[in-house]
Amino acid sequence: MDNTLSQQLQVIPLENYVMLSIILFSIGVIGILMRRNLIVVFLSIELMLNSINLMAASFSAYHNDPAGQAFVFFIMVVAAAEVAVGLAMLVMIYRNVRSIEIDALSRLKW
Amino acid sequence: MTSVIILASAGIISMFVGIFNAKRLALPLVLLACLAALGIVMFRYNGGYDGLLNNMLVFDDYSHGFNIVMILLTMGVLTISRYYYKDNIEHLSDIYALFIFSLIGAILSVSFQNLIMLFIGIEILSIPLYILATSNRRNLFSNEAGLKYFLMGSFASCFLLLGITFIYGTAYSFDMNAIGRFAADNATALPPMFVVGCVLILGAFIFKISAVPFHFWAPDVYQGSPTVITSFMATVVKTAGFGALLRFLNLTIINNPGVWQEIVQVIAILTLVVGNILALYQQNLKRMLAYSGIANAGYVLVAVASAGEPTTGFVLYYLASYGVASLLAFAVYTIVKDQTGTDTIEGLKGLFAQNKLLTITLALAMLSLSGIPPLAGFFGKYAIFANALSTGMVWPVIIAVLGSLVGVYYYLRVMAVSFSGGEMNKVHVSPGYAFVLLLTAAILVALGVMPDLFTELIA
Repeated sequence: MDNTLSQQLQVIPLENYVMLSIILFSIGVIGILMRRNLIVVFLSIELMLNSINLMAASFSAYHNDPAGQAFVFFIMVVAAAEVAVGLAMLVMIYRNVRSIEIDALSRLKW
Repeated sequence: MTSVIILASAGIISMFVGIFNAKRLALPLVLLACLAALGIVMFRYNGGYDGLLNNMLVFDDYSHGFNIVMILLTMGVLTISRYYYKDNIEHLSDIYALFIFSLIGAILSVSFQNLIMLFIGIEILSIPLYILATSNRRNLFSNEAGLKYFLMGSFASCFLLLGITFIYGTAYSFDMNAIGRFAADNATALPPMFVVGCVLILGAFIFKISAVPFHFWAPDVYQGSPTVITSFMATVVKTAGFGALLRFLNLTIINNPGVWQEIVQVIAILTLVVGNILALYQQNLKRMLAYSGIANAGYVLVAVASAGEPTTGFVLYYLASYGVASLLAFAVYTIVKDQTGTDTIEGLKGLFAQNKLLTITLALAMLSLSGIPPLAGFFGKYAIFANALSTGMVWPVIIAVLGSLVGVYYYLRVMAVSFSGGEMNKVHVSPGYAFVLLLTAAILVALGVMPDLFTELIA
């Protein structure tokens, strides 16, 4: 399987793709932990999932193994389902408390 | 696979039943489907081996054993839900459909043979639960519980995915057998990326089974969600989480104990300490049961840390006994909360004078959870401790025994309060509900009196 696309991809070393994905993933983690706005938190989750997609696709390209790219499609489908539920939840919470800040809901405490 | 297809079709039909204004048909339909699936799983049990979808899913005796327990627990939850949803019939059929979809996710996540299927299974298990947790739309507690569960759950599944991708990047395959071979071939020098991947996957499982340090969501979510959903989470979801965790360990890195054994031991000790001590201070019964769920995850983790062939049977037996006892406690809580409006432990005062049956079944559940012989909880704990000692794990067992002593205090407190005198509203139990309570209590006693019956089943 010596097609040109995977040769072109391999001009950049694999480590660079992995580092980029890990940096994007870390930005997502920091976003979830630091931001209070629910939409930004959802965006951060998407960022984490897509950084994993990038990593899976680059592993797949470097090993000439299509399984990694199939995995990317599974992640995309599940991410779409998850965000659909999350956004529905956000709309419902906005109707109840008129806010989409995370701190608007903090009634349950030990 | 037939069982999954039957359950999935029942779920879809249940949603259509809702459209055609025949909501009362939904519960019998999903119960029948569960029964049919249970029959098929039991028929295939003992030697049945189905490799499906290019061996991405494998239904072997391990998964059949877990499937039987999970389907039975789901049926228990569904029968309780008939009382719980007696007034609220809006979206009833959708709720039952989501229960069934979540059960399908649980079945897939204990039958995976491929990391992609593990991920899909865990997501099918979780996404319906996010919706179910918020299903009480006007209640802010339910909203908050669902949101917390959703955020924490998707955060954890990102780490699961990162771990899977790291493993793929080193072993070049998602197939568990190939990964197991890779781990065995490189046992002396595992690539760091592979080890990190395994640890990240372990972390995601620790979240799912609500063990320390990722336990903080559990009390809030358990307290805020509708009680039926809480009982589903505490029983079926926990069983599925442990089933998937043990299957993952057994198929990949069981022979590389350096990677996981110490981590699991430390987590087990932390979980036992934190779960048992925080449970002491709870006033809310549901919240107390949530901390008891965390503590019980600790006992099972002690068994997981001493993993090997016989462990699977003990883990499943313990999970079954914990599940049945919790289900019983939640069933009593549901009816008391509905008719007296109290949700604290103190609110159970005078229950014995009002209703003998509820008090005695609650007492049975609490005795089993605290591990008093001859009930099921005792044999489960005994088997786990004896097995862990025989593999040389002294400290986790000492902590676990001390933890279960602390446990006796808070479980028996519930029992003592419910037997003490006090003012209480009238509590009425319908004959059908009484039958379900008695049946569940009988299963609990039978599990305890005849543990062989069950351990033979899985070994």
